Amino acid sequence: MDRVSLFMSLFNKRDLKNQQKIRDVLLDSDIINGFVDAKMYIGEKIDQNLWKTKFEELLKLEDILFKENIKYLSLYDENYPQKLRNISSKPHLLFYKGDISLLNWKFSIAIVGTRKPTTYGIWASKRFSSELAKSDVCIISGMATGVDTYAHEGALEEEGKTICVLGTPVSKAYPTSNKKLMERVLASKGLVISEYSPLEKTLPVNFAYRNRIISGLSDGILIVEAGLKSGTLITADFALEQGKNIFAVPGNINSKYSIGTNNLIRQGAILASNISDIFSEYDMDFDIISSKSHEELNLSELENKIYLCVKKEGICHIDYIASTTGINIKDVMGILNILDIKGVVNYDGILVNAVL
Amino acid sequence: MFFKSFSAGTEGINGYIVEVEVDITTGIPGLTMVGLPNGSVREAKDRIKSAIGNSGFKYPNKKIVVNLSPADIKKEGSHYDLSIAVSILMDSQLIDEKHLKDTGFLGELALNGDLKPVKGCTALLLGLAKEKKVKKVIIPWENRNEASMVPDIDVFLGKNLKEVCFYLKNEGVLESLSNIDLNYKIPEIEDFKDVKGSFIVKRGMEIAAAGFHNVFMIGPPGSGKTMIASRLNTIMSDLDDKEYMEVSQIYSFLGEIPDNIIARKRPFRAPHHTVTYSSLIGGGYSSAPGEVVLSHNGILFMDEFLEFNKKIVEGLRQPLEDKKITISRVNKKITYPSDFILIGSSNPCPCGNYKNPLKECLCSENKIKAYLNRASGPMLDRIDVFLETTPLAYDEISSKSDEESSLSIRDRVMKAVDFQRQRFKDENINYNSQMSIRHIEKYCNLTKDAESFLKSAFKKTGLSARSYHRVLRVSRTIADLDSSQDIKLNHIGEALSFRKTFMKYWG
Repeated sequence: MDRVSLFMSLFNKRDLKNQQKIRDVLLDSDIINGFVDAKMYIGEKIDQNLWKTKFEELLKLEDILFKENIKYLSLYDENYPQKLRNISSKPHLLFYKGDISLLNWKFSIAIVGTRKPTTYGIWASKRFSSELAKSDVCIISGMATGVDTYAHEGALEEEGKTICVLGTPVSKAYPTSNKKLMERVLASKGLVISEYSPLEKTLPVNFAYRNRIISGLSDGILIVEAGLKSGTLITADFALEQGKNIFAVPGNINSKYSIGTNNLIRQGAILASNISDIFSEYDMDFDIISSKSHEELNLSELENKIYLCVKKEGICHIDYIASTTGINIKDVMGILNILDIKGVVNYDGILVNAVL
Repeated sequence: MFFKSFSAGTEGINGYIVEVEVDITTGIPGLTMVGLPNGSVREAKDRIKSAIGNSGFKYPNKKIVVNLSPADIKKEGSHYDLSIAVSILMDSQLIDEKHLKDTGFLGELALNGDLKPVKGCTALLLGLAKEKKVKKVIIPWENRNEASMVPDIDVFLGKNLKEVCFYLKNEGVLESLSNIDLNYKIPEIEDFKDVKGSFIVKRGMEIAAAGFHNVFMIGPPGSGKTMIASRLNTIMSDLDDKEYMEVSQIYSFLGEIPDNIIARKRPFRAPHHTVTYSSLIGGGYSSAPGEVVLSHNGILFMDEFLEFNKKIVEGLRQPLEDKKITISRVNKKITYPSDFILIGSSNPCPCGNYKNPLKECLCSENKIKAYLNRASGPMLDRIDVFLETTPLAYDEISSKSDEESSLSIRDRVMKAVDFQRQRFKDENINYNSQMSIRHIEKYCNLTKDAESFLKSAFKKTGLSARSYHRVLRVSRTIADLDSSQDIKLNHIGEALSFRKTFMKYWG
């Protein structure tokens, strides 16, 4: 691990003039290990006290990294992902936990979206993520509430690979409600990565800024659901700048949460209604594992009646099903539960959407 | 000379008999009252003197001592006036002593001799009725509504002191309660028919009514939460005799029994979320019962549940757990019955639009989480049925559809209530929602496929033991509504649906 880069990252840029020269000096292991007074070599350009303070900080940081089992990569490491070398303002350091080889996975898609998805958005995030994971695609996201969380979960459910790019240091899970999720990602040989060191304070801007890494690491980004002013659109901007494919899931034109995604499609993002729409943009061979069709399921007459009603609407309210099919609400509820467990529909208590 | 008559006093909302003893002797004229009378009781002295004079009788110019026995309990109220006056008049009037041996007297006297109504009449009457020696009672005309269901006692109504005395002298008659029509306004019946659509919410309410389950409704403003909550009592049975007695006792304590209670409709209380602890739970100067007691045998609707002060909500624990509330004052503890259906309702977030596909939610996720977490875990644990309301615009339901009337739903509810009555006749509970684990094991028998379905759902969604039992209680009610002895697969399926909303917001 590149200790010199770690050390230099602790300084403000203006305190370290002529960085390349300083770096060359520090590369002498005796100096970086503090055995020899660097002043003689670097000259009066660096404040002695500052040097001492920063050196102590380095030891403190290394202590934390050791205790938390956090590793790091710098630009000078050969393992630093090529994809990130190509983006503007590449991160100098990448702290991580888990399997670093995922950064060079053969094919990855970033899945991002609103933090407050509707039932449709929740279903779509999980659906795309699990289907892609089944075809061996690595899923990248930000581990935020909402779409990010469901994207990671979808991949984990299929025992697929996933990378969480955090806006906070990897030493703490943010949001705290995703602590278990982070543990599960690591347990499944996934990767949790951040450009922020455990000593750094977390600023709100970090969350927008790390999106360039999410986009940068991927081969394309999929936006599942986004409102008019969603922060997800920032990720789309980065992707555009980086020349990545931008996919968007269309939504109900009345839904406030699909205005952003529908707009993106209008402006040229690729409409994604299933994973084939994504795969067809790339010149690679993908195995698409198909799921059962509904005919194979042997639904009873009532189950079928309800299924067809939902399928026709795409997504509808349970009261609508009751009034349209004429089936008593209590029977509708019972049947929807069964269809949900069979994987035919997705039912959240009042809204239902067809899965098959 | 010594005379005695009967009256009554109240401890909380319970009445007890008071013996009014009067001793008239020679000595400096004046009236002394003993037996721990409070201010309003002691003032009876002047009221009685004027009332007697203005009724055309002579007030004895002698020394009078009045004792209210038992002498060691504090006496409150103005209803002792009548019995004291009658006892005093025994001396000068030829009152038939036979009456006083088995008659109770309740009533405040106006200065001109009119009988004024008393507070807590039902409780007082019940206190007298339980004494074998009291066979009849004379009460003010205006208290007649409160006497209507008191068993084992003959009630006579008096309008003034003169009338009462003539009756006691066997020279006149008093109206008997059994001969009159109680006049009360039949309340305007709201109906479930008024609510368009919302089938799933209505079904949830049907289950709540049948099994006495607590409900929580979550949804954006204007989605019908208050409308449906206020109609819950239209699909529940009327108060039976025992329940009516309990409820009218509580309400008469406060002065007047509302018309809809007299019409036997279950009480519906909806305190505002700025309510104080003593208004909701009880307490205050006279240890008055709070909203939790006023909703006994009925419904307590807490709209904007998450805006209620947390400490005050904690106070609901005892009634929800024990079906009663004990209020401790300086030197006494009073226990009131408090068995009600709790309906909580709330917006899903501060702006109200979280999960509303038609409007964008402006709240940050932290704000939403903090808002929903205002409902404490233990409190949510007491809710059996979670319902999500949606604004009507989203339901593309044609308005031509005929909505089911309350009466029709009530029929089903009553059948389910009957099943429970049969089931629990030897147990100390009345409804499925009150079943303990022992009851559940005894009465919730599932079919084989219901059992395996529940097991797989348990594994898939990670239900806790507590929620497992809750699902069974609700399933038992659903099976009762289906007139089914066993709990079948579709009953479990439906019960699990009502948990999905909980998982959607708090999962």
